[in-house]
Amino acid sequence: MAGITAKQNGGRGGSLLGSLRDALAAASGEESRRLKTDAPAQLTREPNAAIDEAHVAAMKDVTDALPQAVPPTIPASAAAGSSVKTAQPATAAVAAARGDQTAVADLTLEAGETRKLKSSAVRKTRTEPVAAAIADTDTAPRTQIVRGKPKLQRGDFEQDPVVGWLVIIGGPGLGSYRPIFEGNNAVGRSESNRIAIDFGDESVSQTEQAFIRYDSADRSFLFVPNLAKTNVVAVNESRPAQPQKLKAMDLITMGRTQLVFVPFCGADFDWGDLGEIKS
Amino acid sequence: MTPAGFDVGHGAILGAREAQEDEFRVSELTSDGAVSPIAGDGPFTRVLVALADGMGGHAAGEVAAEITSRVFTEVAGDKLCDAPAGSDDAETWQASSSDALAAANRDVADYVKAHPNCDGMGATLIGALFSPSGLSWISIGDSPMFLIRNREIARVNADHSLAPVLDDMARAGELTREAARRDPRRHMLRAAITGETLDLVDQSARPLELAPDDIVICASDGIETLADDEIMRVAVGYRADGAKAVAEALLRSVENANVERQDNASVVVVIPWFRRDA
Repeated sequence: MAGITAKQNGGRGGSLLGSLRDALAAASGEESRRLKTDAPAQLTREPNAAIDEAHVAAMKDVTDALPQAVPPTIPASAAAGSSVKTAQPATAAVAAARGDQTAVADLTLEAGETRKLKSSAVRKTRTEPVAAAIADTDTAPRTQIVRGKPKLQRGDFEQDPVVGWLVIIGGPGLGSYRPIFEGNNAVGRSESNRIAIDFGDESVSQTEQAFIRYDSADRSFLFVPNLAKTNVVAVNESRPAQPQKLKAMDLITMGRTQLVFVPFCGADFDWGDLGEIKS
Repeated sequence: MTPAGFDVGHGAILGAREAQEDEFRVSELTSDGAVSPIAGDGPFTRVLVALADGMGGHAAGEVAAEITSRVFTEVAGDKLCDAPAGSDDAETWQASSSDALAAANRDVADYVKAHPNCDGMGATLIGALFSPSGLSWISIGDSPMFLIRNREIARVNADHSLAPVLDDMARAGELTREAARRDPRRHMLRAAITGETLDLVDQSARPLELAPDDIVICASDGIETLADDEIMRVAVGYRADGAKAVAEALLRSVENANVERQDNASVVVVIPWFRRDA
């Protein structure tokens, strides 16, 4: 594989615009291709004398050292198979578009091997210029390449975080509940609805009988009736003709099914709070 | 499967910055060969996105981002529209996007030459073409483009910041993961459109085929206030309301995170439409 070879050479295997790609690309989201500095002549201009020569040199070193250092990041999970459920999961699709390689798993393995082989050799060449470049950017006028900003780290959700529930207190499915998620939740009888009221009440619309929205910005729940449906929908005693806010223990009636709204997120808690606490 | 068209939503927030140094253009390539800013709700058959995140003090970042997005759109748009009828967008893209990138870089260089005080200005670029053959892109810098599919989120384009390098150092045991994560060098750029030689350019080798339920997000790195999983969660949550709602929800989530020194954030959300019988 030409791409792999290029990578083993530290990405300097000679890549021309539009032809060769670095194998690493296969799902890692890393540079796929390194243009030779002399390739497109029209892109070059005379270096400005005002530019700090040392800085430029240091940055050059950094970029030279970098391709060796680039790991595959995403494919680990993709190759592990856990997240590869269908023929074309996102990572595989991206990998296919990024390079000419076909076997993602193979690539991952090879990239992994490459990394192991190289880690010791890379160590010497990399740290120095990076540090130098950093030190340089502290003083150099071209500080714009340092783009620091804190990044919030949040835990990984196993599934969509629940923001509330509908509890069935009347009709088929009595005693059951359905979770409500952030954003827009279609309520209907078929399983394709985010909130499926699939307990056999035929008088609930197949799809999109109504919508329940949770907006984390203002932490409010909104009940939005689908006026295109003729099935009976009520919130408490009224038949809403427009969106209306839901509050705890509101009673929603759809067909012959009665549901009670139980919020989890709201003024006291939102999943976003966790991120703030952690960071 | 071939998308019948694309639903597009976009937006930008200033964050805690004084100036908006992000600039993007979303254009429709019409069948009669025109390149025009998208208007109305769509769907649009062919969409060209140019998103740039400028840098450099004073007004320089804005200028660099404006030149980059404008010139890229003009050159790539014209070349794509001028291609002979029946030619494959994907093939035209390789040359036209490279030429457009070079043209943008040249114009930035010219501007710096005429305005020496702007030396050091630059911009990232995501150039993306959404066409019936799928998503083609060219990218330089650290502005991320994500594909969300089947509850999985993947970064589509390369990250030319130092973040991947630091992560690799952490993996090799040279840094702790925590140190790598907190390292201020993460946001240093290895490549951008500065008028100088383009060291790193990422270009799609072939179009990324799009599938029903896909969501593509082009953004400036201000979006990275949100973790990838969170971006996915919000995008999936609002998908049914359309691309515009997804874009708004993402920006609202960024603002909601209340990060001190929040960078400008821009998003262009594209959702492919498929015919039911396809």
